[in-house]
Amino acid sequence: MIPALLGSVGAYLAVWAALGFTREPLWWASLAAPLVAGLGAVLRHRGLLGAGLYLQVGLAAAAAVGGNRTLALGAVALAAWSWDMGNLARARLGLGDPRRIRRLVLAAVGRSTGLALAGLGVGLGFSSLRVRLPFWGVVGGVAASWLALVLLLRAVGRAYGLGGEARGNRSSSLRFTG
Amino acid sequence: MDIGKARAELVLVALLLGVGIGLRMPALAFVALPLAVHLLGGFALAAADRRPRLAASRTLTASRAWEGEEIEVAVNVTNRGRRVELLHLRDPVPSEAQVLGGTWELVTDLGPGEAATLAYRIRVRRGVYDLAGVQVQARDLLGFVGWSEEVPCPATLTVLPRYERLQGVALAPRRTLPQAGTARSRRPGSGVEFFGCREYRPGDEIRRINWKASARTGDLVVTEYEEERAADVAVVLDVREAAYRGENPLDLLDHAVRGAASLVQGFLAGGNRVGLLLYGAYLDWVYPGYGRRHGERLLRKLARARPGRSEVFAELRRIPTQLLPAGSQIAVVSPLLPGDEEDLGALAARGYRVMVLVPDVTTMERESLGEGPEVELAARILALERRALLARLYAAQVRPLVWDVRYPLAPQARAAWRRIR
Repeated sequence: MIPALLGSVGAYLAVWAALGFTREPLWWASLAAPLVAGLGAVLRHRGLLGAGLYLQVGLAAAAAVGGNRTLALGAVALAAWSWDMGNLARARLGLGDPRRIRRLVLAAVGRSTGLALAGLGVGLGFSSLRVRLPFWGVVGGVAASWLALVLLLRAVGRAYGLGGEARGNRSSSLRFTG
Repeated sequence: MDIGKARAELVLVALLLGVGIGLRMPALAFVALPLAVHLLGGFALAAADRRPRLAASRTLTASRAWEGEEIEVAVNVTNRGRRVELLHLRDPVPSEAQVLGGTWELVTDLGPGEAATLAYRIRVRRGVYDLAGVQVQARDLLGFVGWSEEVPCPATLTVLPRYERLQGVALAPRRTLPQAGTARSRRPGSGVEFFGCREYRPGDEIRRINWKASARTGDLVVTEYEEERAADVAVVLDVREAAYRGENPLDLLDHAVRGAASLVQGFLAGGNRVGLLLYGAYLDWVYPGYGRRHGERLLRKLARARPGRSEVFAELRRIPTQLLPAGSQIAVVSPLLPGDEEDLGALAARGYRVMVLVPDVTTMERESLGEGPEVELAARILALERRALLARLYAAQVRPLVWDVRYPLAPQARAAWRRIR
């Protein structure tokens, strides 16, 4: 729970820094983002955690458009990390053997940190590239990526999903039921 | 398969990319990149965990127990597939069970071939419990992919009602069976109770000659004893919901079931043929029989007894007499509702011998009510009502026993039903 709270606060501060620590009255409404995420972490509520992520990424997007893009990317990475930690806290780890759970938590934190850093690195790497693409080229590329992603998800779902279950009429009756 | 987290991230990435490209704001598309990497990486690592292949087995220290006994339950879950990163096991404990200790819920990881054990001790109320399976939630470390299922490990736990050994309860039905038993048959034969005297006939045993009576009459007179035979007995347990009132109606029903179990076992021990009728939401009838196996069947039936409601069986007059052999003994166990004594009297008028065991709700709940003039007054009113009820039952030729459930039944039953009235 505490890492999730720290992550959401860190993401909020990164966005604030990206916007130059603005003190505009409207800015304070954005406190809702860490509040919702923090509430989700404390209450271990899946919906609130998701809403917190969406709000934080929305803030980061606003910061990327109107401020420092690097800090905005960092905020997104922190928000994703915080979301992972919040979901980990929902797993009721207190019911397990403390030594095993400590090992599991360390592995989860390591995996999440690695993914967040990798994402940050990819984001920073792409933002430093200077490539000129025609508009429809970008649209086509995105559509192709989207299609590839969907196909990948379907393939994964088919390979690791329920599998092997019968379909259709599976009446257990041995008698003629007409 | 639960991929809610991955789906939420996918929607977010698509939203950012779509808005960024649609509005020609590349900054938004860049913001989506860390999320896309997080999603793809996390999902790829999670998908390495296939659907868990788990097997479970359940062990009970006893599948047949008496109420109040402790039972140890052990559920062993073995992983027959690939590694499961995060496994949440939960064995649903029956709502009537009191968990005394141990682990019935566990979070752990499980490597290939490894096993996790849930072991706990419970004390369960009377009943028959079908323990189906252990609930399993498996997921990867970051929660991208999850599975929920129930791994079957069925077992049945039967918790039988406790009973007391009743002795000295006299039965005198109008009709008896040919076998020897403990019911008085109203005919001379081999027994211990005095029946009468008659003149000596050749073949009578010399030791049966009543010398005093012979001296008075001048002729040889022999003493006859009342023959004791087996009888048909029907134990009727009243499970009408309306009859079980008070703060703890189920506790009162438990007392009634214990009383019925004691009667059933006592009658069977006397060699009688005993049937059982649960009278409540519907009629649940066990045909009369003898012996230990039949006694076990009746106890299992009593273990399942639950209060029920039915307009048809709201009154005891619906007791199906066609199921009960004519002239047999009927033992009703019921807290009784107003008007029931008339229905019991009607049974007695039809030639049945009726005895009724009334578990006393007032003595059961008296301690929880505390002290005070109102409680005293209520207790006195209830005692008067009980006395009037007993008088009406006696007048209807019914042999009642109001059972003070704070004390054992056996001595109270012996005192009330020792003699035939």
